[in-house]
Amino acid sequence: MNSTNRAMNRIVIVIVGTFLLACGLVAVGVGAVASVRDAWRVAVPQLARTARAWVRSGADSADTAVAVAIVAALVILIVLLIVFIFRQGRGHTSRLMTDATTDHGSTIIESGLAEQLVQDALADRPELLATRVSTYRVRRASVLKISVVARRGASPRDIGVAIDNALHALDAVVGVQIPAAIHIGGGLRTRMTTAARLS
Amino acid sequence: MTDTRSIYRRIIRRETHSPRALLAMVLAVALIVVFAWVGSEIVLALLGHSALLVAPRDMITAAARLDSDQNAAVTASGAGIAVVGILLIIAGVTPGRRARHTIELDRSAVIVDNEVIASALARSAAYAGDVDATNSHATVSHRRAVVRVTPASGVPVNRTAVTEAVDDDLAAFGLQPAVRAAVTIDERGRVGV
Repeated sequence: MNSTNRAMNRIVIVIVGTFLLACGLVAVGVGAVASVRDAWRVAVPQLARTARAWVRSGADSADTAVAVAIVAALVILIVLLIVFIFRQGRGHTSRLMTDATTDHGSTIIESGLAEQLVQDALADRPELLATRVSTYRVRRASVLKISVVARRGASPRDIGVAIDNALHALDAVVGVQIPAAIHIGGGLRTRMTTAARLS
Repeated sequence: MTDTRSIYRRIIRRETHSPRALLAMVLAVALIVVFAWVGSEIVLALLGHSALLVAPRDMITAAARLDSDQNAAVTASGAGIAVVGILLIIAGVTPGRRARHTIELDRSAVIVDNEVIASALARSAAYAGDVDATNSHATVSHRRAVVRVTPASGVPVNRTAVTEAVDDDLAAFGLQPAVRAAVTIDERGRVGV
């Protein structure tokens, strides 16, 4: 429901995975294959000489510039990663719908209204242990999310239909049909409670 | 406003698959720590101060000397790192399905945890088999439900009735993807329940 960029999550995971795999394979090569080890003996000291020049204090400016550029790149990467972390799990909205402005003014319905109406309508249902209603933006539309915890043994379809009916009532109040997603979950509370006599 | 169907399709897709958010965030934090450390070491080296842990030049020198007599250790740790890398790539590429099903209703998109379906099936089976609720267990996976009923000692359980009750339930739920049930009645009953 939230606006987490899942493709980006996977890209980050695959990039880190590929990097680790490459490092691991190189290490295995250096440790176990003689020809790779020889190449490593030639390549790394050269790299070491270059790198040493970059970070030597009081080195000439061209070398220092490389080190500064590396540090700058690292800082940018860190900022991007922090942004990446804080982009996770967002997408809530407080605006349910905004009607087109007419001569008589415009109508704005806040999410809180729908959330409380649905919550109240479901409050007395014995098969629901907990209800949480929130509103998300999905594809530029407001979508209600109704998360409920089912009592042990309750029929998920009956719960779905009950919530569906509550939503139909909401449609009548609000005047438009707001898309809705219902999540029926279990968990510790489901397992700990006794089954209610429903029929 | 976009078409409701496409919204529902997106929601259902996202609710039935893992976002891989936790793993991605853990990796991001690890990368931030590593980058911050490497950056600090470079700055300290440039200023001529002593290093926090290892100076950059010592890092590379150590890497250059890898070849001496630690071949077995290098190979082993390399293999370990490669395995971690492969696991991450697998996690990044596989769909990461959650233990959930969807139910089609006219008004809304419904997503149900498998656990809820299992507890409903177990309850129906207990009623149909006339056993105590504690003697009926069910597990639900992507396409299969396994229901196990333990009869009370000396009171046979009507297998047909249990199977019918479970099948009726599954038909009524209308789960996506469809689930097929397998009912097992334990050979040995349990005393006192």
